[in-house]
Amino acid sequence: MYQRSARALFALLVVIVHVAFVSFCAVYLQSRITKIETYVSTIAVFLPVFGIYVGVVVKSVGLGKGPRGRKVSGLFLALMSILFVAYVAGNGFVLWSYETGFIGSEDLLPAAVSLVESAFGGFFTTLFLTLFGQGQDAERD
Amino acid sequence: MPDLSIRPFAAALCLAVPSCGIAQSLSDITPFDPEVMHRTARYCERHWNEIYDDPRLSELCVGSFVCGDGGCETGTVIAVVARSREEEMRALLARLPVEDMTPCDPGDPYERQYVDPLGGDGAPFGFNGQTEKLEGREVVPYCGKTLPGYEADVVVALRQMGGDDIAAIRRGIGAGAMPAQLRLTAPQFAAIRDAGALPLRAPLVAALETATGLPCETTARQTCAVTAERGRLKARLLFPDGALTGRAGHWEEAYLELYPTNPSGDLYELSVDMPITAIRRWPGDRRKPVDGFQSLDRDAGFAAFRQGLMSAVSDALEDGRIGGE
Repeated sequence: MYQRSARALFALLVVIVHVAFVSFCAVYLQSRITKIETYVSTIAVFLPVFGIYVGVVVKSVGLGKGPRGRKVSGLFLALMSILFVAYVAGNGFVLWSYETGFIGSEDLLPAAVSLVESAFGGFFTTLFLTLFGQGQDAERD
Repeated sequence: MPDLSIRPFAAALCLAVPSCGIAQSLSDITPFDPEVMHRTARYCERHWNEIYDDPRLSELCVGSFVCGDGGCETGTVIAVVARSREEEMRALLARLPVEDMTPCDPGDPYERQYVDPLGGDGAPFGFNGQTEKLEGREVVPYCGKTLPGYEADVVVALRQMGGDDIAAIRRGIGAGAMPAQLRLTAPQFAAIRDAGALPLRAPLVAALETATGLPCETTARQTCAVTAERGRLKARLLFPDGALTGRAGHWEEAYLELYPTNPSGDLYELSVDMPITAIRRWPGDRRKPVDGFQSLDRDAGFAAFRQGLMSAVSDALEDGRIGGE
């Protein structure tokens, strides 16, 4: 029970941080991107990872009984936390670079965001699925 | 000619010192005479269909040009010179208001047509009736840029010096290719041209300050620089938060050039060219951005902004602040 609550808390935390981050980006970039196409595609690059989180969390946490999931080690959780921090820091670095002029053109923003999403978001999402979705499937088999 | 021996040295010096061409004086320019220019140019343009059969052409049309529907281009001059007098022409060019004048570049899309003016299927456009006298001789075509407003004078000076050894023309532009124009009178044209466009500066700066509501100065928050440079008044503008066209939340950048033009003999205009118009959405309280701008072509907001500036310059022309007595 304790472990399940911890997982649910972790999942909710990840989703809340992501929702807050994407919302912040939407408002922040709105006053900094000239072309609407670039604005839309930059936000869109965030969404696949976001969509996976929401789907997994709704499936895992929202059900009454809920999955037990695979047992995971502290090392696994530490790795996930590191990746999550790296993911947030990477996206923060992209925005900071844009603000200070290192990324001079808004045309580079979708590529820069997707670079971070692929590097950390993809890896992190895989671990996230292991923690929730995949574990459940594995135990059923 | 007693000074003949000096000319090769002067020409050699010009080749060695690139800035030589900049140090022109106006002493070799025939004083501006709108009457003569008006009469000869109008005569030739009215009869341009018969122009090629008229034996008096070289005398009658000494100060005139047939450039095409759009008139003559500002700042360009083409001269075909017999090689025997090339050095002499270069020495003369050093004393004319010419920015640079060099043999035509075959790699340049516009200059390419003049590289072989005597070969091919007849003379290049504008040279009809001009190059026949050079047939069978070794020639060098020169493509050059003059200070704005001096194209006709440079061509006349070259034709007077060269006689049968030089064919000099102004270059034409297609109809409708010109930037916005204000009509000038001949005295206004002469006043603006001879003062290197400086008389336009005060009215333009005043108009910019009215339009933006901000002092025209370059700071960490904005760029507003208006300079008279080589016969053109150049304005570089970067303002936050829609100060130029009213686009809230956008930085706006514009680059303007104002220069006197003389598209045909008796027509004097002030060109107001705005080759750069760009915006970038960025908070107005931040440092001014240097890149990431999106350029806008034929934008209604910038067109209205330019119209406002032209209106203010028109006021200054009307009430005699420019070219008045």
